[in-house]
Amino acid sequence: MSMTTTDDPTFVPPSSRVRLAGAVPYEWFRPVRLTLMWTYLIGYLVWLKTRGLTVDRVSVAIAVGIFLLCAFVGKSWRTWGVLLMDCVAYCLMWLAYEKTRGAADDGVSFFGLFRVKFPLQQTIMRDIDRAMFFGHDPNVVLQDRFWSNTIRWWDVVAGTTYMTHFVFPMIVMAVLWATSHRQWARFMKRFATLLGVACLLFIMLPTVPPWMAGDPKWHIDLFHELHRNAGRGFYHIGFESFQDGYKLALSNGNGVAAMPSLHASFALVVPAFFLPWIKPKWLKAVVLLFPIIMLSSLVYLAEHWVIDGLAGWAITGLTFWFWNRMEQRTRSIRATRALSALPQLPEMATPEEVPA
Amino acid sequence: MSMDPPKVLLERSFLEAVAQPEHADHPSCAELYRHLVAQFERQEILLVAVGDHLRSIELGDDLTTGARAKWFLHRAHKGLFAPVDALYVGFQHRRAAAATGAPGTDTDTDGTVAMTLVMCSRHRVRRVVTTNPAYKRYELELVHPDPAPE
Repeated sequence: MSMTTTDDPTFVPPSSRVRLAGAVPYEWFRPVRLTLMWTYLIGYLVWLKTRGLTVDRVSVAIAVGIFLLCAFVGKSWRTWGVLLMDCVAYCLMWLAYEKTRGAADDGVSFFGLFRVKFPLQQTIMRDIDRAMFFGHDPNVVLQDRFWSNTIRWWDVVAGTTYMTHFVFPMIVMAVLWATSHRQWARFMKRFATLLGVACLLFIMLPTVPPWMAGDPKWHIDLFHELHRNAGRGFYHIGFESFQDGYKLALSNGNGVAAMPSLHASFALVVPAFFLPWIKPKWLKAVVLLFPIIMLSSLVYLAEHWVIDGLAGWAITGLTFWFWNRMEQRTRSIRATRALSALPQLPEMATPEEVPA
Repeated sequence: MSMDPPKVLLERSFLEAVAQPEHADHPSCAELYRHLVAQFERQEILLVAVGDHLRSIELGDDLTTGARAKWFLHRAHKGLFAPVDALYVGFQHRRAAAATGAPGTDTDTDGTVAMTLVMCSRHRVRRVVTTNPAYKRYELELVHPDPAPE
């Protein structure tokens, strides 16, 4: 075999070797970055306590942007250029999402020439839910059984879980952005694909959500009126002013963009992304409880049908499957290109491989 | 803890030996490279190289500014070093390399070694594939091909 990891014959004893940190000038920007990021974290927590959770896209984007400024201080100009392009792509992704989602209930206009509007699904999701739950409406059953004017612990869990949707994936993006651009790109491919597929379905399958199906104002009347106050449990634990932002965020949305549930999808996309790095099986199980709690909360809070959440999970799974295959294919193509450019060598003995 | 597979830096001397069939170390380096590529394909390692060194070997040293800028902005993953990612060299890295290799210092060394050390330090690379014995002075995990048979 033609490789070795030993240092013979010009062996330098380990005690005589120069440490890399001692050989290369210290990067003074590193402690500056760390200090700024910790300061940001403290500032964010103070803001969270005193002003509430920022949930609208613009505020979240600004928060992420400030974090990135802290995390990239002292990096090379090229890194800043890449960051700038990433930010443009990130903003375009959200803009396309908001525009598409917002327009879904009006149909889609093709260059102003004609408009295609898909019929509003009023009963089919409810029928699927009833078929899955032996003739019961899960939303109605949960609210009848658990909802009261007094806020209980499950209201806090449901409300808090619901609200994580607005910040949790963005926190993950920001941390990945700052730590590994490669992993950030992997995450964003999956996330953007998920958003794209969801938007397509929002347009093609505008769906009445449970809260609307029971609201007399909409005259759909599939069942009695359900309570819709998703954030009250979160509000109850002392987050004073989040509701303004929450209402603002909803006002830009589309009430019938219910199928699939992006709340359920986002709650799965983050644990699913990190699952390969989580070794203990019990911890994997704990992490995967989060999307289950999210879907239960969505059903309890009358925001989604069960089938919306299951469809969201299915799309997330397919997105991961697709990108895992694509990434493997890209690696194979790059490897094949390299090997085909290498001149053919006579067969050698099987080598010991470099330890990973 | 890094989320990425461990990075293996292909040092300039190794890149040259792989790229030049007439190089004395070419057979052993090419064979080693073949196995590194297989590990890359299995996602066990990431292959990286100092951008300046990789560009010089892929495109030569007589480059127009435009070609240099194009490579800097977007390097196509084609050819012999398609699996290798470039660690792009910035002004700050050049300054650090100049200080690292300064004559009379502990690490008085040539520019290529100094730049490689800087990039290893900044990108947290600990494993280097090289035929250059100069790296044995440093706390790096060296992977190098066996010398060619006489």
